[in-house]
Amino acid sequence: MTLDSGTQPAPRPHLVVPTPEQLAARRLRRRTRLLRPGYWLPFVLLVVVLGLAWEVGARRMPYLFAPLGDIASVLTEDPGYFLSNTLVTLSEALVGLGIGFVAAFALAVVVSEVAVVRRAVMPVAVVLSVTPLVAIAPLLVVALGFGMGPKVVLTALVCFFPILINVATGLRAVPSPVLQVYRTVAASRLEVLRHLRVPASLPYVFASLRIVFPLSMIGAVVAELSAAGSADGLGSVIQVASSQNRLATVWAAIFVLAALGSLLFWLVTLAERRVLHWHES
Amino acid sequence: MHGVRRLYEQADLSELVALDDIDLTIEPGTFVSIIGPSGCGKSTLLRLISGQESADAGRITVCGLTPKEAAEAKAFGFVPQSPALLPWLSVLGNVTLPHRVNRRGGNRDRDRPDLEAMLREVGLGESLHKLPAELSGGMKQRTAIVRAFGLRPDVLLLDEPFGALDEFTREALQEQLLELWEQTRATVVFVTHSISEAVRLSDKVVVMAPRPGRITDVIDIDLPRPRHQELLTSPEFHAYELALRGSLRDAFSHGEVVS
Repeated sequence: MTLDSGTQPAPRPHLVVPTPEQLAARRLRRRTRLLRPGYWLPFVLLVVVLGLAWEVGARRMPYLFAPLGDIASVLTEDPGYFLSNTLVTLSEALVGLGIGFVAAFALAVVVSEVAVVRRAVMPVAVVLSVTPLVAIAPLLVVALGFGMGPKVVLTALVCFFPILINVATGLRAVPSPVLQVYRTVAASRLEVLRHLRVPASLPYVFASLRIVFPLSMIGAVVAELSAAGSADGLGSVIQVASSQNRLATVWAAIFVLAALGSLLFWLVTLAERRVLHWHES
Repeated sequence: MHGVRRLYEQADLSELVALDDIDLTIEPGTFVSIIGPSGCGKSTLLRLISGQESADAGRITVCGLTPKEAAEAKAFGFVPQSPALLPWLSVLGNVTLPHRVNRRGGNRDRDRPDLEAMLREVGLGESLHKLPAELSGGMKQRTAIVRAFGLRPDVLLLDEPFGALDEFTREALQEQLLELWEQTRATVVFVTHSISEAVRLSDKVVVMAPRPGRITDVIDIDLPRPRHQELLTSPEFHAYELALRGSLRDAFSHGEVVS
């Protein structure tokens, strides 16, 4: 055999091994990266500029903007109010997203396995995924009432098609040489699905989640806006407050939504990094 | 296989004869290379043998079974040109997965070899738990070869497995392939573009010509084994290379005349 048999690690003259002190210094540098001005200064500058512009806007257009101070005091005066409404919107969004995900994934498996179904479903799915489905919110409210129902249904619907399209593509993303290797050992369709197709689809699953988490918030909020006054949720807060001209409350709710959306996006990215450590991106 | 013929429907609805009148008997335990210009149906032939496609005429038997039955019984190991590893599994995971699918087909009497030892033997001992992305091209292809050999197949099919590798890696891998093969003595069908590769590895070289894909010559390589690096410079080796080169030229000019 031409190469080492593994009993003794081969010497590796091409690797420069740093001393413990050097290693510690490097680790410290990597960890304190965030503290260096070159890292955070551009972002902070932009936020300051935007804040100043906002204050100018609040003076010039008092019916559109509220001063940041007012918004902050609304938030601090009654955090419980915002928290409970946030939880309502969040649970609508997540339940809808969960239902949409399970249904879309199941259909994607059928679509990827059965060509006839694929030819029927995929064109329709593409059309519906570019249709602004949130527009049917008022109809759903009429049909399903003012409770959780229409919000969850709308969110599920809005999330369904992007997930379906992405996952159906991902399940078919197994390179043909790989399929050939496993077909020559007569792997069953279920085994191919489980060991090859589903793992290969994971990058596509996460791509769709990045799209769909923000969409789920949009779905929930639009449904609330269409059924305001009788239910909870940040959309209802916005609807009620804007009809009473309480601009600071409207903006406070929007800021909370922005923070919530960012948090969800960050969580998806974090999960993606853990699950897809093998993927090059 | 006897009188095998395979047609492909083309874009203009005419039929392309990918393979015509292929008659070939491969003795169990021999190493057979298939060589020929692009488009002569070498890869199609492998797909027919392994039951991925069916012949339009003629009959193929593998150890007395149809190709499909042989695949069900896990008689085949396949190494494609690209390593075709699963990027989310470690080297060891990639090598063991074929054992975990189609368990019914796994012959009980054929005990599962020590895959870790096999990987160590080809120099992947330190990479057992690495992901394919962390490996070089040669290491990936070694993993793919162990994945196929690890099945202890009756028939090993290799489709230009070293085509994408540099010359040095290629020769090192040929050596390892021969060593693994000496241990198992499976029947090997090896598709290649390289004349010296075919001569070095094979007991028998099958020369094919395109349009329609057919066998034009079969050359027996009667060189002693084991065949090490030194053999590559011997006069006998060169004589075989020349003979094969001449046979390939004939095959190619045949194709020109027909088309």
